[in-house]
Amino acid sequence: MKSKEEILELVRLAVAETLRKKDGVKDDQKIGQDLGAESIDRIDLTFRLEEVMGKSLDEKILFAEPDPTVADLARRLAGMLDPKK
Amino acid sequence: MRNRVVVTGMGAVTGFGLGLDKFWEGMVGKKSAVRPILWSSWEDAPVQVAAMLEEELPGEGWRNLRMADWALQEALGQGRPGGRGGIAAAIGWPSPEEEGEGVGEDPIAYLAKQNGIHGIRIESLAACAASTQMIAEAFWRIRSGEVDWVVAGGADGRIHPGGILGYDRLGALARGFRDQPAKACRPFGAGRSGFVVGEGAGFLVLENKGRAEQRGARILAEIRGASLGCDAWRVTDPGVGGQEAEACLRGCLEDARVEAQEVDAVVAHGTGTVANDQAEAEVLRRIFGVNAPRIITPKAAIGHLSMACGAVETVLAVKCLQEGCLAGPRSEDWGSDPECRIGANGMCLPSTPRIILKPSFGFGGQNACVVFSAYSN
Repeated sequence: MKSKEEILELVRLAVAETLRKKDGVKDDQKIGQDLGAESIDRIDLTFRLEEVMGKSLDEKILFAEPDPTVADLARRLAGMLDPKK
Repeated sequence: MRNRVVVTGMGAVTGFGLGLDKFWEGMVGKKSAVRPILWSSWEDAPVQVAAMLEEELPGEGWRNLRMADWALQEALGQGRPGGRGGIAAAIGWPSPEEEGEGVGEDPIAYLAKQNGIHGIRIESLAACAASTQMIAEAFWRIRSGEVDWVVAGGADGRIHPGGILGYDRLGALARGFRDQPAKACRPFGAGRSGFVVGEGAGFLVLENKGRAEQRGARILAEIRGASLGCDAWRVTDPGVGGQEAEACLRGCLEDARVEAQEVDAVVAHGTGTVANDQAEAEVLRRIFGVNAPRIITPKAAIGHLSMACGAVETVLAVKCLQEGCLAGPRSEDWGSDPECRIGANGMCLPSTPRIILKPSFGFGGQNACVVFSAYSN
């Protein structure tokens, strides 16, 4: 089981790689509005996170409105991975 | 988890000649493969042009099958995938005069035998949507994990008196134009009068993305989604209202989870008949609204390849994504028919296309659609 900080770091990396942000991303940047992700990028990001986590993920929950920040995305992902839920 | 699916090989035979390079060169150079028909005692026939392959095709016998074999070998020649594979193909039947190699055999089994393809075999007779349907089926089988790769496509051509007269009697062909063959087929254009018969083949190697990356294959594009549908209406007319065709295109975008406004180009079915183009334009208008993507119309240059049209046009879509530019004839080349106008704000021009949609509509109201994206690792 990964800690919240580990998940946040994995999400930062996955977002930066998928959206080709060479200088990395900040936790408070919004995926759509600030980082310019289109629907196809959100799918690619979901694929990337599935690969990293080894688990099927629902991108409708991950990317539900309002447009999540990098930190929000990590929180949602942690919620989806939590075995108690 | 769903498997991702990429294209790792392509082959094409068109009126421009044998091979993908000749097809692409024709598309980039805005050339036309439509030529006058020079058969003896054909001078008085109403239909005077076709997009025939003039280059010599190796072998003898069933021409469509030989074109299929050629394009399939070109596609698989770019590196053969490992794992469990298969073949999905739509092959036009032989002309009444043809005999020899392949005639009387099952065409899919013949191609599998010739090329040592084990695994699944799928075929389609869904008219002009058939080879697009084959690409869709292949994609789903790989995505679900049933197989690791499939070579998918089709071959067809009906450039013989019976084939041409048959289409002409349906009122589907552009008559005349012996002196200006390149202007015979004008998809979405004002005063268009029908399509031009073409011949050729197109095949794509679709492969599990992870496996393709592992073997170091050159990845040309990624297939994102697909959809099929049937109007259940009439043999020779698109369904009234176009709801089924629209549902097919929307279903394809939904399967890919891509939004319509992100589509950069549509390699249209665009036959150049009054009925198809009007119905297709209406469907595209409803889906894309005022901001239309670029509409590419290959049939203007290579004619209508019947069951093979979707595969060859998909090859063009993938090549555009691979090369990062949009090539081929366009819907606005022939002056605007108000009924075929798509997008009130004019066409948006992406610097590099990222997503291309490829719909096909066949006689019998059979619809198929696939969508691809540029590959970036």
